[in-house]
Amino acid sequence: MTAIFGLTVRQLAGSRRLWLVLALVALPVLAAVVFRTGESTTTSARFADNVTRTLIGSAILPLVMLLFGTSAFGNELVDRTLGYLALKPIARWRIVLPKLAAAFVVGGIPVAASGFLAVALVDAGGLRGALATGVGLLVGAAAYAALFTWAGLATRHALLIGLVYVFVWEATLAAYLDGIRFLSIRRYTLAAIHGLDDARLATIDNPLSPGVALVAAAIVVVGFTALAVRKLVRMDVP
Amino acid sequence: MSSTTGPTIVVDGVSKWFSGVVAVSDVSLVVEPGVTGLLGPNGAGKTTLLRAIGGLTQPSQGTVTVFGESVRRNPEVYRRIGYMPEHESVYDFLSGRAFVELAARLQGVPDIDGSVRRAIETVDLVQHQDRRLGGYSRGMRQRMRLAATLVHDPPLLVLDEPLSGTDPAQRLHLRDVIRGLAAEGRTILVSSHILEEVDELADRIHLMVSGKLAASGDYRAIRQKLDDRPFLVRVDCADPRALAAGLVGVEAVESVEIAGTVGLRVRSRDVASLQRSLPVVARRLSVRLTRVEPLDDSLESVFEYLASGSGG
Repeated sequence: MTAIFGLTVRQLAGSRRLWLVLALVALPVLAAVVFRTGESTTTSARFADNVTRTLIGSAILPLVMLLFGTSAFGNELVDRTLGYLALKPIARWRIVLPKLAAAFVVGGIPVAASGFLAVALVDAGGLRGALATGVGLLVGAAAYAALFTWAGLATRHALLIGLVYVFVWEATLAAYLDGIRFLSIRRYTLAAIHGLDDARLATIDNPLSPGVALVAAAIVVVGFTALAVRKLVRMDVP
Repeated sequence: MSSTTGPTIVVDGVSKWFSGVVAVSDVSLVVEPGVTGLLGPNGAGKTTLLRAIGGLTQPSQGTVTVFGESVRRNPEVYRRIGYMPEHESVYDFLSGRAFVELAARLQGVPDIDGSVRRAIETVDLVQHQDRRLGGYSRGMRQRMRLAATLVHDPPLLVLDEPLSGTDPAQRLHLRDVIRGLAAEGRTILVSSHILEEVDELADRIHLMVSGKLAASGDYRAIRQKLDDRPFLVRVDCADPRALAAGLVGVEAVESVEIAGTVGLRVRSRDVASLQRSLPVVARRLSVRLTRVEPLDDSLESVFEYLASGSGG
C-alpha cells in the first residue's frame, strides 16, 4: 500500500493546485499575524473562533479537501492510468485506502497546521486551544477526504457536486435548516474542536455534542470508504 | 510456462454494448501458448475484447476465463497476466525505472531490483531508465510500458497495439522481444490494425470486423487469401477505349470497365503483373496514362474482403 500512497502523494503534491492550496492555508496565518501586529476591537478568542469557523471551517478546509479528494482517483481516471493499479493482484480496498490516506495527508495536514498556527499566534486558549483546532480540523479532513475521494471515483462531476455540498448545503442551507448539522462535516469539525477545548467555539448555536460529531465523522469515513471500494470493484476501468 | 493444459484464454459468446452501440458481438475464441494476433481495423472492437479478457470491463453477455478462472473481481489472477493497455498514458513524473519498479512492487515480485533490471534490459532501455517518462519518445514509452508489463515474468501477456508509435528499428527489436518471450512458452495475445505487424509477430490470428469475429486460423492461410483477392485499379488515359481493348488480352487482367471519357476500372488478381503490363500495352498503343490508382486497397476493404468470406 505504501507504493500507491507514495505515488498518490506525488500526483497530488506535484500538481499546480498545490500552490493554490499553499496560498489558501497561508491566509489564516497571515490574518493572525495582522491581528497580532495591529490594533483590534475584538478579543483574541473571538478572533480565533471567527477565523476557525468562517475562514477555515467554511471555506479553506472543504475547498482544499475537495481539490485533493476528487483528484485522488480523478487524475487516474482522466489520465487513464488507473489500469496500472487495477491490473495488479491487490484487493481493491488496498488501492482505495492509500489513495484516501494521501488525500488526507496532502490536504488535511497543511490545513490543520494552518489552524494550529493561526490560533497559537493570536494566543487564544494557549497551546490547548491551538492543538484542539489542529486535531479537530484533522477529524474534518478525514471525513471530507472519504466523501470527496468516493465522489471523484463515482462521478465526473465530483468537483461541481462538491462545491454545491460545501457552499449550498453546508454554508447556506444550514443557516435555515437546523437538522442539517447532523449531515454537515463542517459542523462535525467545529464540534470536535469544541469537544477538545470547551473554551473554543462556545458560541455556536445548536452545537452538536462532540461524541455525536465523532461518531458521525467515523460513519462518514467508513461509509464512503466502503462505497469507494464497492465502486472500484464494479466499475469499468478506463 | 502455462500452468494449465487447456487453452490459456477462453472467450465464450462475449458481447459488449455501450448505450445501445454494440462494440463486440457474440465473440467466441480460444488463445493457446505462442503468439496470437488479434487483427482488425480501428473501431473493430479489439480493444473492448482485450479489456474484457483483462477484466477491465464486464461483458454485457458471455464469459471470459483465463487459466480456467474468471478475471473480473479476481485480482489474484493478475500474478499470471501482464496486460499492456492501448493508450500510452503513464505517470509522466516517474522515471522509467521507477515506473517499472512500481509495477514490480504492486505485483509482489520478490527480487525487485533483479526483476526490474532484467525487464529494462529486455527492452534495451538501460541507458534511459533514469529519465522521466514525460520526456520519452512514444516508442521509448511503449518499450518501458512493455518492461513494466513483463516485470513479474507472467505466463500470459496481453498487448494492445504494442508496436504503435515505434520506429522501424524499435519495431524490429520489439518483434524479436515478443517472439523471444513466446519461445519461452508464454501465451501472447497481440492486437494490431496493421497486417504487416501481425505478419511479423503472430502464427495464428483472430480477425475482427465491426465487433464480430470474421476469421480465425493460421496467418499464412489467411494471407494467401489476401494475396489472391482481386484488386480494382483506376486507370485514367487519353484513349480509354483503345487501352481497354489492349488490356483485355493481358493475362493479369480479370475484367476491364470503361468509366467515363478518360477512365478505366481494371480488375486484377495479380497486381504486380498488371503493374508491369500496363505501361507496355499503353506504349504499344501510344496511349498516354495520366493516372493509375488502386481503388480498394484501404485496410478496411481488405478486412471487409476477408470478413465477407470471398477469399474462401
